[in-house]
Amino acid sequence: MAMTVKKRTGGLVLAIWLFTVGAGRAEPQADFVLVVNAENEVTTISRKDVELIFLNKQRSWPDGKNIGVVINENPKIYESFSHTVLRRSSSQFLVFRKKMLFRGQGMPSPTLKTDKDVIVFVTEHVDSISYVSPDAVTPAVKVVSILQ
Amino acid sequence: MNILCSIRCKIWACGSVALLIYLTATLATTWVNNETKVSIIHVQRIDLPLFSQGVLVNSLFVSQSEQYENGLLTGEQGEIDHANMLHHQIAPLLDELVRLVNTNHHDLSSRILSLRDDYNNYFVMASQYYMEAVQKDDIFASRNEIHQLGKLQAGLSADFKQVAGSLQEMTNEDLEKNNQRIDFYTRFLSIVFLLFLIVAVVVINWLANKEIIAPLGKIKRMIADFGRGSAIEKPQGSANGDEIQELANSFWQMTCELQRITVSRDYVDNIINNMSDSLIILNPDLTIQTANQATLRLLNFPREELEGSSFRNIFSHHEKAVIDSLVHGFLEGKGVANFEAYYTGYDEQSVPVLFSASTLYFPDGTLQGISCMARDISELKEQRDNLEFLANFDKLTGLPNRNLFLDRLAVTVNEARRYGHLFALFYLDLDNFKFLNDTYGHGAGDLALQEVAIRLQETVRDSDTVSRIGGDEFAILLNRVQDTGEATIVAAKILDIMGKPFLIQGNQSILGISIGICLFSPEITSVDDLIKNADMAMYAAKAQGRNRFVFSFLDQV
Repeated sequence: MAMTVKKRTGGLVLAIWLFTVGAGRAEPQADFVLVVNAENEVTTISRKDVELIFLNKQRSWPDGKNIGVVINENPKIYESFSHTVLRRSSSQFLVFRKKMLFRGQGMPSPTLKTDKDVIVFVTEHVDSISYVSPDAVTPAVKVVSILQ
Repeated sequence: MNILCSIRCKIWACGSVALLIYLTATLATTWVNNETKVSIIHVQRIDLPLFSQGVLVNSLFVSQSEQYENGLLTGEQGEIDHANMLHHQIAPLLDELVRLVNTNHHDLSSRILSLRDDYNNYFVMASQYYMEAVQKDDIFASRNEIHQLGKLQAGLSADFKQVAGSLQEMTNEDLEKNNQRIDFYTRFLSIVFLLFLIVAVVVINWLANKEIIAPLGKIKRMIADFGRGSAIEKPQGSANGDEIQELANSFWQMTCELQRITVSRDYVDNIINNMSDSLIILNPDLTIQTANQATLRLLNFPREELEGSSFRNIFSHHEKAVIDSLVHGFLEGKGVANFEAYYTGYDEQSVPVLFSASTLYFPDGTLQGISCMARDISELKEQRDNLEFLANFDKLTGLPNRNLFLDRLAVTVNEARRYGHLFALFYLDLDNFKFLNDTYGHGAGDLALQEVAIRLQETVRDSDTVSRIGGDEFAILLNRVQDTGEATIVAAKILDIMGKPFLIQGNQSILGISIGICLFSPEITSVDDLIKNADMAMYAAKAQGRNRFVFSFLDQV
């Protein structure tokens, strides 16, 4: 399933190629999984798109709704997520987030301390996206595969 | 009251016009300079401070934002303090900007006012929340407030940049206006100066021409007219005019006075040209400078040929030696008076004149010329010749009269005594003249006498003298005869020719003649004796029957 995503900068529409069977290669086992609300139709997403979403450069889902990014400050997976997906150190990502916050760019992302809090928040917010430990996943959320 | 009553006033009037126009131009220049100065002062006191302070406050705000950001990123509380300290510079600068921006830039003024208020509000929150975030070491704890502050900061940053840009733009606009204003003033002053220059030239030229040049031109024409001898009109204008008018009046009065007290050249020329005597003015080189009409009439010379020619040309050739002595005398300053000479006319005819000359000198003593007066004495000379003729010749027959005959006889006697010559004296008397005169009248008698004179002259030589002594008496002086034989031959010829009839008034008459002859001898002591002897011989011939000749006693002796 294909879906376009509106960019904030320049109003560009970024097409997110949703996963279709046999269309991509599944991510190997990692320290975290990407989760969205169970009602979200997205099943796969490219690493680049995830990077753009978390760096506040891609802000809407293909259906036009705003993407609600949730930062999981669980140190274990925070570090892994920064390194694996954003290709940055956790401190670099932290500075980026502070700068974004200081400059008032984008919307301030909710920052939660535990996987459980994240699961609850994602469950309650349809357009949210975050990452949690694989063993913390519940049926209330949907795991989205990351395509390299 | 006429303010242009003197040349000084007129010159001052011209100068005042120039000065007035100069002052007006100076005032215009001063006004333009003042306007330029005001605009430059505006740029100096308003635009440039606004521009520099706008740039400064923008850079201070950027520094403050960076220090806030650094403080939040690093957690350094000192950065936040430094950022807060910058507020003490930014706020006064904003107040100064508000003060400097005048009401002419209402939009910019309101924007700066709004910026100041927004900044102050922002600073109140920023100083609080940023410090709290640093102190808590969790920026995300108050992420909504900080995010909101970030938006405010971004907006303020844009506003600061915009205000700084607007101030720079305003300064550039004012500078550009100044440039345009200066260009306009430059053109304005150029046109004003040119107009003033034209006005000054026209007005001064008109004034100078009307008040000075034209009146002087009138005087110049008056002088030229006076120099030509033309009549001069009394100059127009009031008696209380300026110096030029006074000069014109004085000149006119002078000409009137001169006309009154001096003789005009026309008058003198008129006198000279109407003189009956010839007047010639010679140059020092003795060429003829000018001559009057009487000279031209006398010599029948064209004026153009006479004037410039040599003074010697008008004298007869035989007078050259005399003229040379006259010229020599002229050059020594000597004149001549009443000298009889002969002018030679254009047709080479001599004219007797009574010539006088005197030298003319310049005041410095150098020779100016020679004035030559000549009076035509042709008639006088003719009358004198006639008188001389009447004194010595018989008017009827043209023969020498008794006086001349006696004079020649005396000369002949003297020569005969000196050189031993002989000569014969014939005394002749017509025999029947009284009868002829009484019969045919005195006119016939005169004709007969004239015929007798002709016949007697035909019988003698040119060197001999035939004279009518008086009435019907004649005498003949035969020069240089050798003896009585030569006298006898002549006497016979006389009797022969007188024996021929005279045709008098259509009538033929025979006139006999009695001749007494006396030959000169040294014994004869006086002319009277000689005549007496001849006369006695003539009466002897009459007594012997007339129409014959008789030698006197002395001869016979």
